[in-house]
Amino acid sequence: MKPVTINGLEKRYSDGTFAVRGIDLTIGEGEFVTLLGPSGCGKTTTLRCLAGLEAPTAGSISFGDQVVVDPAHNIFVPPEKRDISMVFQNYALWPHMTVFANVAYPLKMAKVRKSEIKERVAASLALVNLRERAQQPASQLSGGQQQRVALARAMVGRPSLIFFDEPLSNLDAKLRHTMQEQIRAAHESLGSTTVYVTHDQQEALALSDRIVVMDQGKILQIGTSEELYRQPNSHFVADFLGYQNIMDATVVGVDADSYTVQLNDSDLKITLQGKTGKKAGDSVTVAFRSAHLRFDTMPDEQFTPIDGLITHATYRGRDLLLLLEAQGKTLRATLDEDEMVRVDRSQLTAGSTITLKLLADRVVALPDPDPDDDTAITYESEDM
Amino acid sequence: MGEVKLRRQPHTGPFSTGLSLLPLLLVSFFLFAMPIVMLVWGAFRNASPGQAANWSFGAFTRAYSTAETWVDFRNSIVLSLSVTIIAVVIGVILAFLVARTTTPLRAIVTPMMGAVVVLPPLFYGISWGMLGQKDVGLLNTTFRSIFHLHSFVLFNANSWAGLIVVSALKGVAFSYILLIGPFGSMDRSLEEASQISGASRLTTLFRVDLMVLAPAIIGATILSIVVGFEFFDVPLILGTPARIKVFSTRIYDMIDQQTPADYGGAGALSMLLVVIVIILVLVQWRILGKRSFTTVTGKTHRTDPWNIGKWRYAGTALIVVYVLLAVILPMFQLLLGSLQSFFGSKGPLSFINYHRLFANADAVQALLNTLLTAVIGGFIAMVVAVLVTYAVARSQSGWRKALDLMGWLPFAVPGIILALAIAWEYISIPGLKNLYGTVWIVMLALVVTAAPMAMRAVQPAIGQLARDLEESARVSGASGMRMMGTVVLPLIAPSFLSGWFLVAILLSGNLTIPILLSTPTSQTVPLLVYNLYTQGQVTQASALFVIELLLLGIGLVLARVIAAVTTRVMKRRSVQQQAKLMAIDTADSQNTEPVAKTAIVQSS
Repeated sequence: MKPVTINGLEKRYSDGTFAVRGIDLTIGEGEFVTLLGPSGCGKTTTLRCLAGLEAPTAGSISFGDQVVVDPAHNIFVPPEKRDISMVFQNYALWPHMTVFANVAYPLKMAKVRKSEIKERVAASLALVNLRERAQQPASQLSGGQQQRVALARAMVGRPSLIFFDEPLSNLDAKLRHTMQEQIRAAHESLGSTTVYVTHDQQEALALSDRIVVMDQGKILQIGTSEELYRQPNSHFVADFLGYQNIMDATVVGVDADSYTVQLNDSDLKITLQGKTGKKAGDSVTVAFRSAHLRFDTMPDEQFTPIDGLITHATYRGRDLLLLLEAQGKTLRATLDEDEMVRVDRSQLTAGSTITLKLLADRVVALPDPDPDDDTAITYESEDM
Repeated sequence: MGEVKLRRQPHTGPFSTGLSLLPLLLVSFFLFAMPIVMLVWGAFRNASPGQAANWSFGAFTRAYSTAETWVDFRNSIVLSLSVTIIAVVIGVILAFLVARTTTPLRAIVTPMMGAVVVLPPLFYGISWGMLGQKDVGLLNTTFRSIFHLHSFVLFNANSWAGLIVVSALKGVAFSYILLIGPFGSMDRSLEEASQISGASRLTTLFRVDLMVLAPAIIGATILSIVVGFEFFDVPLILGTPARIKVFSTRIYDMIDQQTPADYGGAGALSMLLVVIVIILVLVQWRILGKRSFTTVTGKTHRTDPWNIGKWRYAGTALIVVYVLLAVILPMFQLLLGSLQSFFGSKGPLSFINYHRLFANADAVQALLNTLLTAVIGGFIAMVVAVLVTYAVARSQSGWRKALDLMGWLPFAVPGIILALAIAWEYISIPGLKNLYGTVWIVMLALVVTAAPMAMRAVQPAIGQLARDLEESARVSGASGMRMMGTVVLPLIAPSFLSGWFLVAILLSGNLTIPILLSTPTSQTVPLLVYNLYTQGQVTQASALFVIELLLLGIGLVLARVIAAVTTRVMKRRSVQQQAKLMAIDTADSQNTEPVAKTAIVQSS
């Protein structure tokens, strides 16, 4: 229930490499914030600095008005004095204790009365449906059950801050889904400020109030799930959040509330909805999801028709992935089940041609990288 | 840490900073490094420890200009290399038979090797000294009576052959224990790939198995050479009558067998041996990393054993001969000797030697001293080992490397030299002089010798301790000390206890430390056994040793039982405690299976 302020956080190892290079972030009271990024992006190091399991080399972190770490002023509050809890990737249940003892541990450390421990542990275990397992050794439970015990242990002390370090990555898809719901429910019932680390964009989108996308030790974009999903601010974020088609283009025409671009090295022109500060001749990077290349559109929807030759068709159950060759460009399109039934399947095989409609309001123009930022990271665009 | 110099590094766990490491560094320095420093210092002085002296190279010129020194040095090399060749070849064959084939009796090899490794070298020196005694030794008398020969000597233990064969018996077990892990855990798919590529089984054995295992075999070879240079008990007992001296027994002679004792010269000679051993250990670490020094096996992989046809009976024969020579014959000879009124007597057997021993105040005192030094010394060694190993594993300070190195240092220093070095340290430092001649200095020296073994015993448990188990305790509100008490120590308790017993057993058989550091009131069983034996009281020595072995056996059984019980009790206690707290019926918890020790490792 405390806000968190991170200022200029830096973690540099003795060999000179950076894990985190200058993070500024404010997390509001009771907010659920996810640090999202590929492995090695610095998200886990940031979380461990928040928890006090690692010490940053520069910058400061405050919980509410208490500074918990600030190397410049020689301040470091050890983890046990930070009033926090954490759920680890590998559950981290103590194998020599029962489920009950694991969950009771934070309360014992806080010197809570025995009768109260008993009640609160029982209540906490009930929330994760493991009350009847209380007396079993923690190591006898399945992975999913262990992680629920870890969640109960994190909640039982009603800490003002809860941290999650990729808690679902060892679980299978189905379990992951139910655990997500339990985590979100726990967050809402406790009102704790929550910081969650993951590399899974779906998990981040489903859970978070706000998402912080990180790469190479820096923050690339902060926003709500919808903001990130609909308006990524860079090639990296677009790619990470599932924009399968990202291409360089040149503006060729600007209208009142839409504009047209031509893809580089191609005759293909695409219409985008909205205003742009650019004029004809300016270069721009456009991105769109494969699902927004549709077979049908709603009436009144603006779209760009695209003729293409199917080079690969992969049936994936819930959808059909098509690789299209369209005027020198390779595009990815997915047709969902509804669309599939409306098309003659023999047309959806390699070698046939098809006309798809690209929704104009779903094509995103990515802002230019900041030319002043010398640490800006360049990415090579993928061929496919 | 780069540009940002923190005045005080924030600590994220116990021992994580240089400052929190300091007490441990000081203790380790005093225990492990200081004796060596004093030894080197003493070698450059021209007087005995504790006396005023000037700097001098006299000890070096005196020790190294004697022709005898180089003869003994050559003897050490000959002994070490010949024992290594026998030990590694037989060790490899046995490890292969056990890990890969259907040889009958293979199941007994590993437990037996464990026993041979634990049996003190003194046991082999004395029992084989008796078995291979040329006139009345069991081996020779039996052979003569079978073939009706007179004065034929089949095997004289007091000879080069005796020295090598008897030393090799223990050497085989040592190299086997180092090899069986890698042999057992070798990835079977490598063999299968070779066979599918058209190689025969035998070709595969030489071109794949042995090549893949080469680093392990080379590692075992180097360690075996190191141990060969450190041999002391067997050369002392079997070599002395045959006038064969090796480097370690010569160092001992310079102090104990000549007046005045030449401490400086002994120190000067020691340095050559220490340098050789350190070089060999460094080479071995470079080849394999320190990990392979531990005998932890890798992943367990289900493999089909290889049916080697008739050869498997040759394998069984090898196993049988080895068991006979390494365990059954020496045990039998020792037991027989302890029941004879004089060695080789054909008269009736009796318990007279045992009666005499229990009436002998010295023997009772020695038993008490041994119990005290082994049990308490073993405990201290384990505590130091746990702290050092944990600090090395978790500290973020650069000093942890120094700590690690110091902890392993005693491994590179042969026992007799360590005893000499400790004598230097305790006589030269004024406040410590009072300890000299007491049983406590013997105990401290035994702690130092046991440290590498103790560290080896706890290293797997601490190494496998997942870090997030500790971190989750910290974020749950436990301080560093609280976390140690509630999470770390309970999890390593089973390894700690079994390691403690192992170390105690090894210490109780140690001769090299008390032979230099004990006085008549502080002597231990191995020293008294040795003294009785060399004074010709062979049967009494045997009886005392039988008692010692009996105690060892009881210790071994106790260790097993306690390790099993602690695992169970800890589980049950916490289960019952919680059950009471939960006020839910306890019937369930009684059925709870104790979880195997290996369950400690859940993650990573």
